[in-house]
Amino acid sequence: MVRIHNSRKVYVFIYLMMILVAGLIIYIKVMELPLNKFALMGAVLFIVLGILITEICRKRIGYEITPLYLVHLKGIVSRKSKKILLESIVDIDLNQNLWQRLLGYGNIEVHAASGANIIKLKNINKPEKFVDLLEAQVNEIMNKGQKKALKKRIKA
Amino acid sequence: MTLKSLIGKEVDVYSKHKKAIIFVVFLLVVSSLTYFAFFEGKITSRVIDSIGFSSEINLENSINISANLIQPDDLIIKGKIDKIEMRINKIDDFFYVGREKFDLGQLSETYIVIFDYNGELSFDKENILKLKGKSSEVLINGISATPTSGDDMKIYFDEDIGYKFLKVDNIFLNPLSYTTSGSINLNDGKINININEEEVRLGKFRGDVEVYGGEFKIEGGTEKLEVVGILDIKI
Repeated sequence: MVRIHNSRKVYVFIYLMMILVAGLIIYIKVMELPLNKFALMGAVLFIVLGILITEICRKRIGYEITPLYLVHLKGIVSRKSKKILLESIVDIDLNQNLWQRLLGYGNIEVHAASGANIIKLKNINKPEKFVDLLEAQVNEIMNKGQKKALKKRIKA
Repeated sequence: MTLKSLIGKEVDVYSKHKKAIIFVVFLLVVSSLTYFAFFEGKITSRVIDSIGFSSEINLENSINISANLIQPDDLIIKGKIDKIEMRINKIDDFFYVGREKFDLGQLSETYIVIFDYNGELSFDKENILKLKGKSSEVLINGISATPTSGDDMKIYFDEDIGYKFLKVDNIFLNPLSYTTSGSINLNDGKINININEEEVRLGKFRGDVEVYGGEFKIEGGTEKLEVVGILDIKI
């Protein structure tokens, strides 16, 4: 079973902000400039909350490839899940805009045979690898199915 | 190319509002850190100057004063001071200079000279109540301490420090009013008066101050001097 979450690269701007704030505090300390207590508390709070909130948002959405299903999980305390039978997957689309390509993450759309059933996997790190893995899993199931069918035919 | 097309809709995990709030909080944090680190003193002094409470007086157009009086109860000096000299009593406390701390309990007496001080200094008749600021060089019993990075270093006392002698060169004093005794010499001896328990009102002052054994010596220029009921001189 493979489980993945959104890529941390989505939050690159927030991380940059936190790094800038931390860098500014270090600079003020090193240069022995006045460091206001409340401004420092605000800065520390910004960094701590920034890390916590981005991690919570990231962990809130997850995707699992089980031997039979592709599962889309949503929520931390209360949970919602949406499943697609791997056997029913007919098409996998990979979408990346310029920014996503530069940072190496992207979105994947998985279409089931029924047409209406689509799972959108957003902001997946190294999406090509995930697509390859998913395809391999789907192919494996297909091959197993074909072998079973062939055996049945031979028996018949 | 717009930012939206560059970043793309799919990256939009946070809503636009959330992004805007995060960015505003970031700007607030950075600007408050920057303000207190770099501009607080400058902006405050600019505001003070603009509303007419300038800390500067024109020494060429001031009353030359040299006085030897009884010390006021306490005095607070803020801003730049060319030099501070002090002789302090033995005390189980530390004097913090940059990243080092000097134990004041090791010697019976410590003689400290601080150059190019910028900060706050307050003292009463017995103790230095506050010394917190920056300096380019400090001499402690003749041993020099200078900043490692080339900029000014932070210096401060943790607690009240008893002193025997204090001399402060080229400082600005806000208008001062208190009842005192002693002698006042104005404009190089042209006016010389002795006072006994009289109320003295001194205008803005720039010059040197020396405190020793309850005596308060000042030498410099002032915009105004009034000994209530006896003398009133203004520029």
